[in-house]
Amino acid sequence: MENTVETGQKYKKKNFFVGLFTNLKQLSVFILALLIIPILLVVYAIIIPTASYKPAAELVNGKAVTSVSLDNAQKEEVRTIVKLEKERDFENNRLSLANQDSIYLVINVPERSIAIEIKGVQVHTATILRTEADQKIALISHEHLSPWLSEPFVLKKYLATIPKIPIVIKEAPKDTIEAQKLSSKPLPPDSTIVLTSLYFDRNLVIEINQDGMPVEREFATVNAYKAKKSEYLPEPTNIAKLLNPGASDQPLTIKLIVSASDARSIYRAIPSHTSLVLKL
Amino acid sequence: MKETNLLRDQKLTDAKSGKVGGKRLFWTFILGLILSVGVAIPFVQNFYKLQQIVSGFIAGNSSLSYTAGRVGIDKIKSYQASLTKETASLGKKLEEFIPKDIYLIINTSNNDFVLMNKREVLRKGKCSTGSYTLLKGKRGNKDQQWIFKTPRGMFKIRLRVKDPVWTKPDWAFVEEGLPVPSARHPSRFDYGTLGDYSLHLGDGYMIHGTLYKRFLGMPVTHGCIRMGDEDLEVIFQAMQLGSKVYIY
Repeated sequence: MENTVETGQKYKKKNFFVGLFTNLKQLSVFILALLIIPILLVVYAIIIPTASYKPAAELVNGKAVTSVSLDNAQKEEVRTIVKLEKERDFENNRLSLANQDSIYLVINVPERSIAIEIKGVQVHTATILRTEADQKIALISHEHLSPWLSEPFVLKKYLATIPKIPIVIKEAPKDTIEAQKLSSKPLPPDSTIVLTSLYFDRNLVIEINQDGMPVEREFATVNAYKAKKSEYLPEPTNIAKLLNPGASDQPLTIKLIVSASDARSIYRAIPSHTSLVLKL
Repeated sequence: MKETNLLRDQKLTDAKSGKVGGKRLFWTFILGLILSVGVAIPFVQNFYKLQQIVSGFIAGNSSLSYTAGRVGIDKIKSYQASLTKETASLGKKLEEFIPKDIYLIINTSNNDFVLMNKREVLRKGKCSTGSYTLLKGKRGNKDQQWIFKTPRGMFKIRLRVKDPVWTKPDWAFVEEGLPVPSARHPSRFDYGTLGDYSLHLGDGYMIHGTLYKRFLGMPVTHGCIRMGDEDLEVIFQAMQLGSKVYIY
């Protein structure tokens, strides 16, 4: 009988783990316990923040707006209204900047164009070859997007693989003999790959990059640029992410790929605190 | 003792037959919970990325009903009409910023120009703009520096000159290692360097010709805009006093 008891205890211990895979009830409890934290996290940190996402909390004035049900014809009419409101805000912003004495940037994502304007005149237009926009943009309702886009954005800081102003320092020669020795040949054009990050107010980051991949000699420059980029927008710690999963203070990044010459011209042309009119 | 053994036997039979006690379920739950933390860590580390993925799936047009709520379902048509009118009026106002006469656009990054009449391109070509050289020198005993850059923004033609004479500024002498002469000294006046025409933009900046045609398309100037002979001729004839020049 003693043997039977010992065998039973051993069997029970072994059976605890075997039961995880063979006993339906035990397996269910195990799976439930295993998934409970990830499921809670998905709901708390992913579904809720994305479903209620606003581009910049401070700009969205919490006016209570009632929702009404619409038939298909009405939906189409409201879509036209949304389109017209976007167009109105876009033109309004362009007009307000045209009255100022500065060079500014106009990005029209639906029409795939980036323009530099001076006093209402488009002096440079570039075709956007590819756009990689933050997925969250598609989530933002027009009611939240509209106030966010209703004023021009202002450039706060910028970063690029090329210098903004390519200054060459030259010491004046002491006499004509020294002057003759100095090379009068212009420097060869800078062909470094152009990757730029423009950090605007209201959590907007626009990356204007040239099409193509860096070549080996550019790897160091590109790596330095990427390192600086992560310094500019450091990734929050896991605890900070958990405490504030709401995405309102996360930047919205729109990456625009243009030709090398356009990327260079745009980056060099825009002033340090330029304004941006954006249409999405 | 016999009773206890019978109980143990019963438990053994229960375990073999698949019946599970509350205690075992409790420990199973605790084990699952502990492992769950391990499963959760990659979620926490990547939940901004996961938010992106989820966003792509749940994006929809539910916001239309809120827009309709704001506008008022009965006012949709009239609001649409007023928006169309407002947008058209804004477009018209923007159109007024385009110069009525011929204007010139200079790209200092690519060193090229476009001559425009409203939205029509009249001529395109290469030019040379500021080299962004910072020249460090001395004037007397004082250190001085000059930066050779082309200014940006909107400018107007202030003066049109045929066969211009260049009055060399101080830096032109400093750059050549020459002593700086007096303001009216004959060596200040240089004939032919600026080409056949010059268009003055103010503050000493000009659009003019060049002897260094091989450098057209490169940033080599001291801030002025150099053009090839034919382009300069066309631009000089087309641009009048007050014509606009946009430099970026």
